[in-house]
Amino acid sequence: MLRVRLHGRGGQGTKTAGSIISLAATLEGYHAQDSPMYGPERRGAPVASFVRISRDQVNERGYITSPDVVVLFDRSLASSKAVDPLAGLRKAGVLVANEGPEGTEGSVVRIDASSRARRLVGRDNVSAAMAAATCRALGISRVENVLSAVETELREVGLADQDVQKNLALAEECYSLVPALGVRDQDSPEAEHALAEVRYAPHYVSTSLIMSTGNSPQKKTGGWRTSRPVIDYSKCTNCMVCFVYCPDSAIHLDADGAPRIDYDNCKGCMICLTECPIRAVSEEAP
Amino acid sequence: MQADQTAFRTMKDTPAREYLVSGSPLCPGCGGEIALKLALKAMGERTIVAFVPSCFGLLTLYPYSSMKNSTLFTPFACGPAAAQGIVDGINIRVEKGEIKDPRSKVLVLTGDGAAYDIGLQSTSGAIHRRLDFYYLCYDNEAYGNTGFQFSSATPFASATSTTHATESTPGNPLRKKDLFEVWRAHRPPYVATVAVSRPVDLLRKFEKASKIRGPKLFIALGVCPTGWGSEPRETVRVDRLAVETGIWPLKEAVGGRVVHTYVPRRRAPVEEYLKKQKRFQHLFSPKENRGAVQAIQNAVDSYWEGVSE
Ligand SMILES: Cc1ncc(C[n+]2csc(CCOP(=O)(O)OP(=O)(O)O)c2C)c(N)n1
Ligand code: SF4
Ligand code: SF4
Ligand code: SF4
Ligand SMILES: [Mg+2]
Repeated sequence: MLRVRLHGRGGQGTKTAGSIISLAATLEGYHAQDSPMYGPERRGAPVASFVRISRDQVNERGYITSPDVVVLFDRSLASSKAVDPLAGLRKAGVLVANEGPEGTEGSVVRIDASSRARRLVGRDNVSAAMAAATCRALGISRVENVLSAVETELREVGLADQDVQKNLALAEECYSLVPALGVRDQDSPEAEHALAEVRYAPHYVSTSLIMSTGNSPQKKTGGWRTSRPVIDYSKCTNCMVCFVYCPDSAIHLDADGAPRIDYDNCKGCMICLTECPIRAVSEEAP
Repeated sequence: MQADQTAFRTMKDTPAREYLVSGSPLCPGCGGEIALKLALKAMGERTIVAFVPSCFGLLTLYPYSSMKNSTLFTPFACGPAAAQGIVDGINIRVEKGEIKDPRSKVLVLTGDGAAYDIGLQSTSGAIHRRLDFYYLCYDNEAYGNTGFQFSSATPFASATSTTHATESTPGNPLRKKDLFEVWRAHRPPYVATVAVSRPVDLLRKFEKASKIRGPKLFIALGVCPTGWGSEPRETVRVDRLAVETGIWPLKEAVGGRVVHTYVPRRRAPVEEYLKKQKRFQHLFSPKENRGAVQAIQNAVDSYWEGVSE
């Protein structure tokens, strides 16, 4: 069985890419299964999805902890301790990464899918690109089946005709750029993890009561940010507009009434930049 | 007269204290989140929030809570019934002399799916019983948390994951339900619409409602970058366009009499609002669907023709 784990950020097409890979494999006659990580996290937040491909029926379920292949949609996730995308990657496992400079070294495939998507599709959604590159690297599907899977899955998520066409061109290009590495699949089952025993508990213990209020700043959603708002205090008039509109209460007023951004939790929506009446907020790298 | 008594004259009067804190699991640029943040500022510390499955249901997700208030999570249809339970529970303990009257406010917080569809019957019951509570619906015009399926709040021609735009149907073929009027028909003492691009109007409405006993009901436009396909950074702009085009009227009804609290002087054409959102993209490309756009404009124009105050 081949186990593929995809890591990206909400909005990049991580889940759709999983479905494309799985459908492309099915069209070649394999058994395949794909599922996204279930979680409430949103656009920009780290997400993952999983694909299993086998000649036999796939009976294994759940998250993949020791993948043969990791597909990385966003290089900024590589350094994230919380995500740790390479965790459990098997020896001689393959990494397909969305980053430049492009090329293949050993079992690492780099493809600048984001730049290619921006050029061909007009936006940074790399589901078709990364799925096509992965299918090619793994040697699991011919190009016509990959394209047919791209078309089916993108229509499924409601993409308009012209955008489907652009994504097909993107997928074909990315497929042709990557060599077939032909990954050997593994018959051994995934390492079993002991199940924790859950004892019966009365409702006041077993119900998830949250006894502490207002503690979510500990979650540090600053990692979702793809750009950073920076206030130029030589211009700022303390007008409070950014403070009123920040959806995440990530701007507070200091003792002098000046706005201060909490970068640990600012999600980078850039509403403060758009709404600042005198353009005192600029956009910088996250 | 009312205006003279308000604590909110300009944006500068927005209370500094936050009750909605950072680190929430909501999308960057969520418009409804701004509405809730401002509403809680106006309502203050002693607010108990009862909420239901929805995007905002995630504001408490074990072991984290993004609100400083006490909260109770209840099934989808039951927000107002839960509010009744909270109010009754407090009253009984006060009557028994177990506690002093905490003078708390109870807020039911739901999306449009609960407010317009699934929870409408329990809301109807609570308004009819004249329960002393607040209801805030942040209206993102679809079932957002489960992948943006259409609800009865979805506007005409909007694409959702269950009303795709095809050659023969331009997205949702149905009109948006008028929840303001449905609620008003129950004769609540206070019902209002709000939008975050007019924060002072929003704060004043919650302030005004706080002086009234009984059901106090609010519908906030909840600009939803994820479901609407708008830019997160443009959330407040999109909200402002909804108001300035006249698509989202700002009004209140005290004791049943409807007054518009802001009347856009020269209404912007609806295109300016629609074009900012992918859910309406099919109305403009590959070719313009003039008929559908005109129908949206006509509906807005005929609404405002009927407005006298
Ligand atoms: C009785 C019931 N039906 C369906 C669901 C699944 N569900 C959870 S959130 C949600 C969407 C709610 O939509 P809305 O009220 O508009 O809030 P939004 O997600 O848009 O914020 C649904 C359908 C549920 N939890 N309970
Ligand atoms: S970008 Fe600005 S408005 Fe958005 S979360 Fe950060 S501080 Fe708040
Ligand atoms: S909106 Fe601009 S000028 Fe106003 S307080 Fe924020 S940064 Fe300063
Ligand atoms: S889906 Fe829409 S309403 Fe829900 S959290 Fe995201 S932006 Fe807000
Ligand atoms: Mg909704």
